[in-house]
Amino acid sequence: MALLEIDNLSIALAKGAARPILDEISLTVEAGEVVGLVGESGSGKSVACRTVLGLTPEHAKTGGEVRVGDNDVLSMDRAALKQLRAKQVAMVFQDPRASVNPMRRVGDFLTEGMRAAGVSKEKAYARAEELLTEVGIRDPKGALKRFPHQFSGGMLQRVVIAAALTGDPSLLLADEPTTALDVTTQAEVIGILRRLQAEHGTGMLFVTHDLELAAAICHRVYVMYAGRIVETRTAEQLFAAPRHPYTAGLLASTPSLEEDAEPPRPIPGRPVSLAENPPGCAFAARCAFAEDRCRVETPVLKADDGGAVACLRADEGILA
Amino acid sequence: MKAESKTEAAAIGTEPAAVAGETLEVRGLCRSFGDHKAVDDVSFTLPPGGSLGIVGESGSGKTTTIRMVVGLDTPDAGSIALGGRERGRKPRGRAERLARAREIQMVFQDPYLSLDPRITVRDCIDEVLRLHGDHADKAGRDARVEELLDQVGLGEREAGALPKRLSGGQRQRVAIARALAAGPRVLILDEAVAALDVSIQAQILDLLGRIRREQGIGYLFVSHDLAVVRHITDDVVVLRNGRVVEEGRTTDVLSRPQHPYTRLLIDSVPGPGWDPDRIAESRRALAAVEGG
Repeated sequence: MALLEIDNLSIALAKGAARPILDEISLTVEAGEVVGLVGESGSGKSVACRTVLGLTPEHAKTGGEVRVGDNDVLSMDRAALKQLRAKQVAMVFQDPRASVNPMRRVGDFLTEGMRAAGVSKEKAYARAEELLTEVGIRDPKGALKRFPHQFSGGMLQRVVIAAALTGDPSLLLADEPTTALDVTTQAEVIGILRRLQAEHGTGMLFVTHDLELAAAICHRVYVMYAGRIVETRTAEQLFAAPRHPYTAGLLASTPSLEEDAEPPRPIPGRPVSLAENPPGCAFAARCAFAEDRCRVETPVLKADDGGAVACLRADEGILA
Repeated sequence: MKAESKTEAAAIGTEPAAVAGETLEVRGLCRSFGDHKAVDDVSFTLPPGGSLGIVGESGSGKTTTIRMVVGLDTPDAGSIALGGRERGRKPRGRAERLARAREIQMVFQDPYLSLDPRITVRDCIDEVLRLHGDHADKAGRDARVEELLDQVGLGEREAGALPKRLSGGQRQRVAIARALAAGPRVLILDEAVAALDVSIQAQILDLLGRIRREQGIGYLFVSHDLAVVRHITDDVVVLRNGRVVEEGRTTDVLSRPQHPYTRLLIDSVPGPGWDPDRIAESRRALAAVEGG
């Protein structure tokens, strides 16, 4: 059984939106697996990720199931959600400065959860020190006494990662955890995340807009567009042979450092906003391969060799 | 369309005298804040209509450098000259300040912060045209606003809109049109595509490439993103702790980096086959150089 199983999840805002934020998405994360959720702003990737913690937009209508272990997160009561967040699922957000209380010492921040769970002060501090060592912070004892403003962004994100690991979660959610960091710092933090994930056998759902980053660290990747999953396969396959025109377009528009790389090729138009609900395939208006039926018939995600793709013309070899 | 815009500017005759062939020369630039040397002896040259990448991470001094180049800060030492006109010292009077402002314009990273939320796109560009006094009458300015918006791919609908009705990419187009309205010789692009979605980023890079080809405006392209720098610049300087550690043709520097810091930057860029061990090795090499 998968560690995380999202099954036909739909989320619709009560008002002010023409289309659901999430439209029947399904995905799984196995124990010890790193799964990427890639998309542009407004694709619904962050909303999907937060739903795993039971954080849904206010007054939103939800459908489907989000199962962690055996339990459906969407039907949990407060006590069950608290247990879920303390013991099973932890999250690392994009901006470490927004994730910690600037008035409290790092030691307080790291031990808060453990203390609330009844761990003694000495044990909690000892564990916090151990975790800071694991994320590569020198002088962990001293670090526990310092305030967040005394850390750089990269160092603070390590503290946040340490905090996420205090409850020994089986599933780690990472929502653009390195987007706010410098590129060399990003490389360090990703290295740490991946090492810890492998050592602890944690499953990870990694949300990012950066395809290259997803390629570097994920086993499998889901690509989202306008609230739907349009393609999924292993990272290698997805990059070598994308089958959805949107995935191919994203790859072509990402500038590459390779010596003989082509200049980035833009996708015309812009992503679909929440106020629009075009019939048929949401990508049709920007797609070079769209036919009349693409603007009428909504493609469903169809399994193929090693993955799945939601494109009416995928079998015609349009991207070959 | 583009040919028309050039003739019109020439006809009005208010473009700076030396339209073509002005070099931006920065020599020995220094700026300290207290004991901290933010910029330490930085020199570079932007040839006329060229594109120079300034690459560095937080604390490298790239922002302080361009703030001095554009005139938002004054250097402690060194010179900044465009077409031989020194702009490193404080301007004397309004006329000189305006003349400097129009020569070098800037596009900022976050189009959600760089546009006044209460002013429509048309008025925002009109304001620049009025300030720089190219077009005395309203009709002339209106025509120019339309032309500028057309150059960046925006139409009548966007012209009447407030920034909040526009997407990030559209806002960045407005910011570019606004910078072009002043008729600059040099455009400073400060992480100007960093906040955009990748499909939109490619559109803006395309647009910037076209504007440079057609209008011969020089770019100072400040970025942390080496892949973007590779595609939009001819030359590059790599800054670290306020100093230039490497410079040269962009393709040479990125394919055959000489300084260990440049190598570390390149290795750190994620992609298929990305290897944390090699990055750690690069980091040790850099530490060895900087420790000794």
